[in-house]
Amino acid sequence: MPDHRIPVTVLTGFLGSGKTTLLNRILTEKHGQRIAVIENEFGEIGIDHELVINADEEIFEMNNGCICCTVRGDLIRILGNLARRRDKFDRIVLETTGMADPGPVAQTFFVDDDIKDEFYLDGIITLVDAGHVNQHLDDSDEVMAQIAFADMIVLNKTDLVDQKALSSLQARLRDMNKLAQIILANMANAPLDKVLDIGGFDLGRALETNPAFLEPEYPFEWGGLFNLKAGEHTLALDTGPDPDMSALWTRVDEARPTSLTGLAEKVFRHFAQPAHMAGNGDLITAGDIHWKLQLATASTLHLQVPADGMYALFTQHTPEEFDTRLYDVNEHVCEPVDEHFFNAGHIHDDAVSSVAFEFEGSLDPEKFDAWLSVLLRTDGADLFRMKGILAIKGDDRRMVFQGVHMLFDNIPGALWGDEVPGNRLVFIGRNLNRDYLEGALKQCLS
Amino acid sequence: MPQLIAKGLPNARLLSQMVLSESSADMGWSSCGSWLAAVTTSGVVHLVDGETGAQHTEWLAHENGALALCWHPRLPLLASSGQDGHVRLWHVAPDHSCALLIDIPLTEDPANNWIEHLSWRPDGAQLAAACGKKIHLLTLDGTREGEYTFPGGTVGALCWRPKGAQLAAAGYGGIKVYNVLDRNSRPQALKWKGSLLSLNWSPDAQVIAAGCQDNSVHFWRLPKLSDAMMSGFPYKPVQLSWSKNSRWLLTGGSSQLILWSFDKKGPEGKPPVTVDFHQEAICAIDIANSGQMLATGCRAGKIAFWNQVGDSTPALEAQLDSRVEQLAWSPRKNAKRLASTSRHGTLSFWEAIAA
Repeated sequence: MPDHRIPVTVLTGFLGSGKTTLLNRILTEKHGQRIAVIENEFGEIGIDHELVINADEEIFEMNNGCICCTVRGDLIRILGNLARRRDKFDRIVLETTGMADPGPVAQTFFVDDDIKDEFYLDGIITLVDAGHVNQHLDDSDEVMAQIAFADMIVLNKTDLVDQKALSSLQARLRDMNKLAQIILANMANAPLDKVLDIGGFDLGRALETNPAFLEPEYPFEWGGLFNLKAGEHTLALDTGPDPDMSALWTRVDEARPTSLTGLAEKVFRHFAQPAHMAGNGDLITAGDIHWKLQLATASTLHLQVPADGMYALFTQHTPEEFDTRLYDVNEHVCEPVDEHFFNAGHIHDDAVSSVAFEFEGSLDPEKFDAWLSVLLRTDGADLFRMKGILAIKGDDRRMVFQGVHMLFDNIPGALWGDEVPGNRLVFIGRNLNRDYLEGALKQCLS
Repeated sequence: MPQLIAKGLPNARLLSQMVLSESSADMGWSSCGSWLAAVTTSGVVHLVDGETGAQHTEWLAHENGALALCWHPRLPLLASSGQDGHVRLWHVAPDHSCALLIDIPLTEDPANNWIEHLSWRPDGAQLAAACGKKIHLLTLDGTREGEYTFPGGTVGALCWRPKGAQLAAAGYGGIKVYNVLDRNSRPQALKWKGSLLSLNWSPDAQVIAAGCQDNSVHFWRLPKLSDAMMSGFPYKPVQLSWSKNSRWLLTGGSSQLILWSFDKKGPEGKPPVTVDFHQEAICAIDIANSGQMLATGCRAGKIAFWNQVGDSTPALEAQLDSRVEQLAWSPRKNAKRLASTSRHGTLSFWEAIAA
């Protein structure tokens, strides 16, 4: 059945992150959609557009005192009015204030039946100023929440930071929110076709919009590809967050060119092998060997480079964390020809993080419901978003679910058919305990 | 459980019908019943003859869109407001021509320039206009006689005490009742931690009822302020109508028409009377001045005409092209004429007799 409801795109982001720039692009570039704008943030840059409604944000809590039933009164009022003018536009864009909590915005689309009948939340886009977001993340709960809620993070002003900082920022954001697509931009130049059709809350599209499902977690955060001349090289490291660090040093077969992500697929299983210890002055041989570098003090290790060619180094932590440097025989620094920051299990100690699970087997619906309802009741305030595809015992269809705080929604999806039924879930929240969640979920297997 | 739904009801007689350019934001009869005015969401007022239903004139009243209309309780004077921060008073002459009498700019703040609610004091001496969290009191010559600030944010509804000079405003956090004759007096607070969207005072002024965001109806008995809540509506029960004798409160917000008895004991502890007819949620209710005829309209566009409040089956029905937006009986004595508007902008005149 076609959805006749009007899509609503929400733009969030700290002051100066480029929300209004993106909004102006949405309004001026050709995409064939007529757009009505609701603005909670005004005055930064003028909007020259016919249908702009300015409104102060109004947060309504309900009498039961549950913060998860908090909705946005201004949105309900304005959308109620726009529902009567729906032939005038195809889409609504809401620009929130820099300090806005996206929770009540999302909840409005879950709890208000009048809104649900006429509108759907297409997605929450969070703009991030690449130059300043680290600082904002450290001292603003609002920025954390905006990133946690996002379906798409537009990492803006990337021209103002170097590649390393950008990669590490991407890794940090990815760690906080595995559900969001991250788009790199300057002047908020994210491709509008992606921005205007996210389907972030569309259960029917839960799979295609979950990049985290596609990218596994690796036991290393960084990989670098080096083009080296034969001879013994030197790897210098300072002390870092841990007294040791796993690493792998391998030669790359140039006859069969592979990307760093492709290589990662091949080497990650070696990290599960027992590690060979190596400390200051030791030799690291090239090969599929899991090394545990002893780094209680600043150390220099020798790297074997038996022949000219391409080599790859994978390390458990990013080079910044141990100030990792590679020198050639002449003590010149070797820069990687390519590098990649991987989606590691946990990188930063941000209060907000996301955890993804993937496991086979069917869930017992009663056990799962009982556990989930307790989880949402006790920890719902700390759970920003949840999304997943589940295999339920006795049901040959996928069960697709999503949640915002304590609110929860699920629909049956496609048949499993020939595919082995399994479960994939992502939780985004504050103070998540991965081990507890994983254990509890597996307890629900039938 | 299967329900017996009356089938094959006679249709009400359609007197006239016109298609407005878009949905009507508000609609109402002049006090004498000579005219009906409907204003579209983009701000065009249509003035229609109360007898024939034919249009006399139309004009753009508010450029950025209109939100409310309110006829003066005695004079041929129409107040309008919109998304431009202005209240305008229009005078309708006996020859049906219409002229702008006074333009009253209330605000230039672009973030708070929606004037969503207008209500004339029952004696016609003042017009109350709600703009964001401000409530302005305006006189017939456009003088701003005072303003109140509603503490909970944007005002959700305004309602004057019947025959009185107390103005009730509802919104987030409850109701404030302002005595406009003593502007220094402290407003009475009827607190409720929730968001109130609509308001209706019983004709005997003993009870004030409010429809709430969390799908409930809350009411207070005056002057003691004992209060109670009715919940369990599938939709927001913003439609509240009192029977003329103040005995029944009729609520929408579900496909059943629900009648809450306010006799000496009720409605606490007693199940309400429920009437099944509509297939979808009721979104408009109006009781005729005579106190007899009742009309209800639902999201599916069906209108039911009931001979009296409490009937279990309607006498007539009618079908609109889309969701019923507003219903209003002619104020004339014993009139059986009903005006309706639909989401798609169809304005219809009905006579409550079989077609």
